[in-house]
Amino acid sequence: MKRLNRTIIVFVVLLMAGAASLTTLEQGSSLEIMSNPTNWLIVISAFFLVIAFMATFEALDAMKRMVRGQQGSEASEVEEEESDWVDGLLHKLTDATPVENEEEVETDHEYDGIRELDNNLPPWWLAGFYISIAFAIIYLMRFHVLGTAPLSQEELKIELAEAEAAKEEYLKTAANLVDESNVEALSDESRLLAGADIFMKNCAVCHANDGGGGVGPNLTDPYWIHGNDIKDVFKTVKYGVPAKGMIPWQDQLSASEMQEVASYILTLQGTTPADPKEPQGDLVEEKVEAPAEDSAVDSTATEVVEEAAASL
Amino acid sequence: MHAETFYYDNKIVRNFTIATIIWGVIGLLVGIWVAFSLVFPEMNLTPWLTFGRLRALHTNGAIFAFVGNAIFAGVYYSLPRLLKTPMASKLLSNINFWGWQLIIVSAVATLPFGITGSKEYAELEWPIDIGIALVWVAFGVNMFWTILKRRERHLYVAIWFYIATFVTVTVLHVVNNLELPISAFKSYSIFAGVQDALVQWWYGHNAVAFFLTTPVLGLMYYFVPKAANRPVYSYRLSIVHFWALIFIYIWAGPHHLLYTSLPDWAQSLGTVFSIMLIFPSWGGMINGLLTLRGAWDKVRDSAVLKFFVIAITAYGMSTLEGPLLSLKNINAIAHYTDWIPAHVHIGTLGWNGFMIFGIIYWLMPKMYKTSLFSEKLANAHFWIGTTGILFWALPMYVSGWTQSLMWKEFNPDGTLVYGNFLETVTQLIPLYATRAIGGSLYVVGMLIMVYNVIKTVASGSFQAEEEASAPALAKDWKAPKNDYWHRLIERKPVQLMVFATIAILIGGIVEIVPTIMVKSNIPTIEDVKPYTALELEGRDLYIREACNACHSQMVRPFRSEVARYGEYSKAGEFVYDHPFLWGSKRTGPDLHRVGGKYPHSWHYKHMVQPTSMSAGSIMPTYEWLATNELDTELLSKKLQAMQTLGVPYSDEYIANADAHLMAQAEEIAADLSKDLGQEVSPKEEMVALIAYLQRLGIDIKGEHSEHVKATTAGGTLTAEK
Repeated sequence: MKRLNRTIIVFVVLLMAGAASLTTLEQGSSLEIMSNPTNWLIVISAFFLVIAFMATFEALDAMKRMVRGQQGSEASEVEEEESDWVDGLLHKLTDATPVENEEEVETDHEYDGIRELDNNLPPWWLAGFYISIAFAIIYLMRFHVLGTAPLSQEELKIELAEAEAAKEEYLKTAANLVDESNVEALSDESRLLAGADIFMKNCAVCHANDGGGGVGPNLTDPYWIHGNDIKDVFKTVKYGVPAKGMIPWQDQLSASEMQEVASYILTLQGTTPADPKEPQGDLVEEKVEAPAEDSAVDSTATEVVEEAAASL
Repeated sequence: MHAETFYYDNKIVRNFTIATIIWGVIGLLVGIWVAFSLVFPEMNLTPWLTFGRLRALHTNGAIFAFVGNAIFAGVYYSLPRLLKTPMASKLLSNINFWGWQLIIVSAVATLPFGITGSKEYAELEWPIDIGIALVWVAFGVNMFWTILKRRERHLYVAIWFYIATFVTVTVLHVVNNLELPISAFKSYSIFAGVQDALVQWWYGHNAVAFFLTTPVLGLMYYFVPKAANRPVYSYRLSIVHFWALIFIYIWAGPHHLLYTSLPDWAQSLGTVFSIMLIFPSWGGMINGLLTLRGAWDKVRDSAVLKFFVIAITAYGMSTLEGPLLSLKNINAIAHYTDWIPAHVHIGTLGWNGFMIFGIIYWLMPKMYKTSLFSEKLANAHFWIGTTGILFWALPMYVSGWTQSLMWKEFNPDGTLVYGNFLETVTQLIPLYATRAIGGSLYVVGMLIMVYNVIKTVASGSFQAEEEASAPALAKDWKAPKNDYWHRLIERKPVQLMVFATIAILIGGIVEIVPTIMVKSNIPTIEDVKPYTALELEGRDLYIREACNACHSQMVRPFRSEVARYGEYSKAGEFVYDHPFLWGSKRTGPDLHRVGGKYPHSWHYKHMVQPTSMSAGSIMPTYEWLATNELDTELLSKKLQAMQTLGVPYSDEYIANADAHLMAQAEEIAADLSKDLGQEVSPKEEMVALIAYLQRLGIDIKGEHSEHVKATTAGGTLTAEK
């Protein structure tokens, strides 16, 4: 009876594990389930869980048997019968000679009091060994003889092609099509604030929190190495200047993020950093703008900087 | 046949047992220190207390000092008793003991000071390597001599494992440590790049196999049936799993190099032989656990058997997990993350540690003719230790999965979600803290054992010589008619050793020889040039500071890595790397494409104070690089050694090496001085390290500075401006 219960519980656990792995599935065929490594992990964890469950029940059972043994055997005949088929299956899998009859398989070896039995190789073990050898042959055939499975470099090509396709598909629908040919400076305060946040996280280590420069050039003065137009700044952020140590950010920031940070950088013009680096590059004449507007931009920038500093 | 009387030497066993306990506690305390230093980077107080240097001390301590001494203790106890003869030579036993302790002390005296060959678990420099080889051979000779003087006709399975261990460790140690000495404390591996990586992981993997597994299986076959007083479950299983295990294990090394620049065929061999290893390994687990059949009631009461049960279960778990980690799709997630240390520590803390504790609790009272001082304390040790393992491993599994998923997550527009590597590190710090606490619990358990052992020793009286008697082997013995075929090998130790040697050589030869001999395995890249003198010195500093303990130099061919680091690494890029520095763990980001990515001044500031450039970084500070003067005394010797190893430096270059070095250093120092607004001397070690970092991974672009062009060119110095 207990063994039957245990088998039922194991099945329930298996079902639950199966259901759990199904919930992670949003689209795709059943084959795709296994191609996702996360699902592999779930299956493996479930496998260990099942083993742990069975071991626990086995231990509990053993303890019960021990207790019963101490109180005098009261095992019911009915229980024995019900578990017969389980025992039969177990015996088929293990082919173990029961402990009571172990002298049947005892060898005449004896080393410092250690005796050796000669139980048969467990059939489940042997079958597993053969299966692993078959796996090895099939694996080598697929990768190196038939060529039906991709080697690592080919795998990368496939992965990149798929990613490129997915990205194009996404960009068709997304309002994210900014690039250096059409980018415009933002004036929306919330987006400038987002730009300030990006600046603090990524740029400030080299250009200082207030844009005054350090490892990288000063961004507040009117001297520019690669141009002060929003398109120029966007391009510098996007592709970097690897020769001079400016990192390309295109793989780490999205186009709209680069637009935000580039716009924010322009708002730093004319602010007074705490520790400005000496000018680098060419002096670029400020565009002529109404003084009132100028100070407005200035104050917005200062506010943004302050807010960003406060939020960090 | 009259019985001869003889005496077993318990003193050597006791000495090794005490050494096991002492070094075990020390080695694991170092582990706790490095674990906490990931949470509190301020703990990297001095150069010799930095994570990279101490990590090597911890791994060497745990493997060779803790497990090593325990193996010797177990072998020196079980071997004579299984052969009914004392160890052949007390002198060799003592050379083995004191020699081994001397090696451990010399590891403590070199590794924290940056004297390292940098190859994992083989870090010790060449003079110590020679010492190891001599002591190991003393052990082997003593063992074989004893076997030849035996009074037991057949060799028990434990001894097969001891023999395989001796033979294989000798081969592995010698081949992986083939290096060209520069000075007493410096050498270069004779292999380079891909080949060096393959040899190293053939060694590294099989150090696990033949130092942490086969000898300990031998101990299991002796101590488990002794402690449980039960017969071994299956003799036939012993035979099959022994030969299958030693033959297959040796092939599996390349699974440490999946998705690297190692040729695909070698990677695939690593994968399939790892999968085929599951059942031979489990054969040992089955034979161990089923030996306890009919003794499960004893397990409830005996701490010794409890330790054995958990140890063997941990062995079974990690030998299933290891092959699964060798599958490419799982390896793609796990490699370079904390999943690997989690896996390793299930093996070392669970399998090795708990086997050793069980043996100590069984052995010490026996040799002191008393009973264990407190079974209760031993049980407390068991439960605290088990909890410690769980607290160690579970957070690291979570950490590994978390970090790997973060590395690989993309936004729909094709950018990385966590483009800044540091974000994936700061996320893990609470898990690192939990791990360090788990490790501390484990050591608390060991300290309880120390107390228990001291009390036991105090209550007993040591029996240095244990009397036994047995008749000598009869000369006119004939094998019974129905003798099982394997019995023949069991009574012929020399043949057994020869067969074992053949079994363990095949895999290594098939994998390593073609990788070295067949040119197409490492496609040449025309643009790859030797390091300049300054860069080579910088590279040696990188090795001294063990940067490769936390930083890999291997961009794998994944979209997530190509996007983060740049072009994936090619085999031909490493042809001048003696030794290779691919690393095995990314606590920090990969550095293979770091060359030219940041300005010199970024590196300078970052090295002096990492948090100044990356807030929240857990990297140690390396401010001494800015104050130490670069020692170029060995420069020409180093270049000549490289030339001997096939790096095409021109003789003119080597002759003018110092001037070349200075020219490049002055250029970098001038740039640094300008950017930093402070005077930077070209003689600082920092300048050399920066030169090396800026060179990494840029050759394939095909643009070389004058300094690089000079390395292979004839003629006189032109670079100076």
